[in-house]
Amino acid sequence: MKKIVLAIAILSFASIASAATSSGTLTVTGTIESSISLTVESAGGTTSGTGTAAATSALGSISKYGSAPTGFTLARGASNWTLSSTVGVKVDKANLTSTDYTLTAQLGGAPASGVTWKLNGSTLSDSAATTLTSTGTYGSTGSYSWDIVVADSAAAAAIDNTIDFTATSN
Amino acid sequence: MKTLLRLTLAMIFMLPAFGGRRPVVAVSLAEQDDVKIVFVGVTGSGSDAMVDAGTMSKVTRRVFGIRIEGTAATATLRAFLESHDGRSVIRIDGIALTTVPALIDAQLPVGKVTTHTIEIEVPASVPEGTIASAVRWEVATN
Repeated sequence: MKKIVLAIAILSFASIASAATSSGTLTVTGTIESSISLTVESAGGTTSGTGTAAATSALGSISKYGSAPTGFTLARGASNWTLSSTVGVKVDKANLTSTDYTLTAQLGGAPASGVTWKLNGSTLSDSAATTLTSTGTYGSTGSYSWDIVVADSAAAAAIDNTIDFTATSN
Repeated sequence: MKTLLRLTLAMIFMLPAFGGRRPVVAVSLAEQDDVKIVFVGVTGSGSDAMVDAGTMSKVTRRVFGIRIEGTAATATLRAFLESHDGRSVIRIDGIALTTVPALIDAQLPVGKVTTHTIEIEVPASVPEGTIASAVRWEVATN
């Protein structure tokens, strides 16, 4: 008799504990778009913003007979002097079947008189882009030589400028 | 005789579990709470709705609402992938969904809109194109 009472009690509790259920569906759609990103990984000078697409390199006061800025070497010529370093640029891809990319560079503004900016040995201008590579490898940092040539005749003034890099998937 | 009585009682309770006619269990519909899941802030309405992430890359997030309609105080919410193209990772409130129901909220207040975030992450190795999946939601009153 004791067993019967227990069984009934269990059935009663099962009745009370019953939960109502329901369901719904949320359909998720979208279109994946391919993309690439460019980051400046390294540069001579006192840099900030490396690892992003907007890095800054400060050289401080520079002169032919002074010391080379951090990360640069200084070579003195007969009528000019050259600061040399490198710039590291990395291009990543996502959802893209392209196997390589083309990288160009262009000055953001006209260089100061008597100052020449070079990347990979090519002189940069503010009017046309210079191709640095047409077979860039995604995901690895490409290192490009960076030279700033200052004529002895150049006026003592700021040489501030911007190098705009553009990567295009091939 | 005592042993026989015990055996008889045991059989009475065992029989239904083995295919015999089940006794009427006292679970009436009147005792159950009606419950319904309603999506808020997404395309469509009611318990079947749609989120269109549009053109996307990497990670896209959308915030939406869920309202549980019913008379109970709280409910348990679970979600799983009913269909999936395998081209993205779908998370609800940071919980990655699979085909197995995942607990989203064990104490969801009934009658109130709660906000949730759906996150759609596309691995870089996935070629461009469309994605389509369906998230199934299950709600049970507590």
